[in-house]
Amino acid sequence: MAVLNFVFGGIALLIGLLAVLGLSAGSELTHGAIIPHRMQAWIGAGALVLGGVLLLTSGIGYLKQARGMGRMLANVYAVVSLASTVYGIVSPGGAFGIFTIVLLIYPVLTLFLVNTTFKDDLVN
Amino acid sequence: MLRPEHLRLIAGHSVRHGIRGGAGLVSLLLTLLLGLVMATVVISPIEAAQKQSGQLSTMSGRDEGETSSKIDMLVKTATVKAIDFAVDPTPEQLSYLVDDHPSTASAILVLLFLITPLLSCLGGFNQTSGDIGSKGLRYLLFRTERQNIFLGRFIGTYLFSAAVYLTLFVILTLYVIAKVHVPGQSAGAMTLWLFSGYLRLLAFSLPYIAFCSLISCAMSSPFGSLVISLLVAYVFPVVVLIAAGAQPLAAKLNYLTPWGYKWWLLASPGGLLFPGIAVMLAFSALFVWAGLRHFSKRDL
Repeated sequence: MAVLNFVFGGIALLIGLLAVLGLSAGSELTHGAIIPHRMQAWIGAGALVLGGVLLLTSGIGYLKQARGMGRMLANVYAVVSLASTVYGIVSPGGAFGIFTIVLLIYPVLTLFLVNTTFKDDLVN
Repeated sequence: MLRPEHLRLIAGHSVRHGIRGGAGLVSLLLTLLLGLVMATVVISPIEAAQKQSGQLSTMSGRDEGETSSKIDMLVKTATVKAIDFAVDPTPEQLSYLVDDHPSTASAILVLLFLITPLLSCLGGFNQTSGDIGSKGLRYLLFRTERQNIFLGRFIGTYLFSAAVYLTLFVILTLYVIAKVHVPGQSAGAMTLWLFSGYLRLLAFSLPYIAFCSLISCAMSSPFGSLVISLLVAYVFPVVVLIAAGAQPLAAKLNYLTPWGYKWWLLASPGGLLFPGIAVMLAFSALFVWAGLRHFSKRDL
């Protein structure tokens, strides 16, 4: 599970940082003109970066079998990720599609596994 | 000597701890991910058509009956195209999949059947090879016979895969019922046909998991076991496909593997369904027998 955290965390961080860069460049090009859904895009990019950092940190926590760094941060990641997905659905222009379910798989799995299957392993 | 209580214990342990191993977790993730992506291929055009038709009817003030018949036609065309491309069916089989059952669910099932060998190999490649490689299996030999270990793990892996497929089908069914409203395809009919498709897919996955048991017990490297299983599952049909381009008779070579019989499982009960299930059981029995024979003699 730590390996998967590193893979997904790296991907999320990379996409999140690229999105932040893109949004910054976009605001310079448009000279601060109002672009629809910009706020949602910033929140989405921020959630991706935060999720990536949490995934990487909790991955290290899994390897150390740490309760705080592993289990707690994994729970925080899952909640942040689920909240950002729900925000993406309810915000203007957002919709619930099959790819929303794809985005929900890993956070739900993390939430389930760290609190059941791996609960007794993450105790240090 | 086969001991039912040992088999139960080993199979149960294999199911419960399947998720703890990296292979089980990756299998679960990829099954859900690839299954949903395949379903998207069918569902996305339908959702787009629904959206477009909704907008058109609002703008032009057309009645709902006309809009729904248009959606129905669009769905039929899209699903027939998908099924025709993958299955190359006889008129009876096409009618069974498109007219007798909800065509949306049929198209999803057809696409899922194409990736079933991959998902089965991902779920079953590390039944014994990892423990053979680490020499950990020899410590189990004090407590039970080799047959119980081999068969127990095979049953456990199959049950684990069945549970993963069930999760995928539950998600798909709920999504299709909630979001995809196709005129003439009721939620009940969709659910029933998807459940029937789940059972047929389980029959198709059985020989591949049995084949993985055989390869897994013959190798001490889980990665090697995965590669060989996937090569046989997918490279052989591709080679046959290429050969069939030059010599049509070569297409018959597909009947040497379960791949050649897969569409029999999507036939009607009065047609090739039961022969298809019998063939899958026969292949499974052959692979399990060969695996058991090899595992009973090999150095652990």
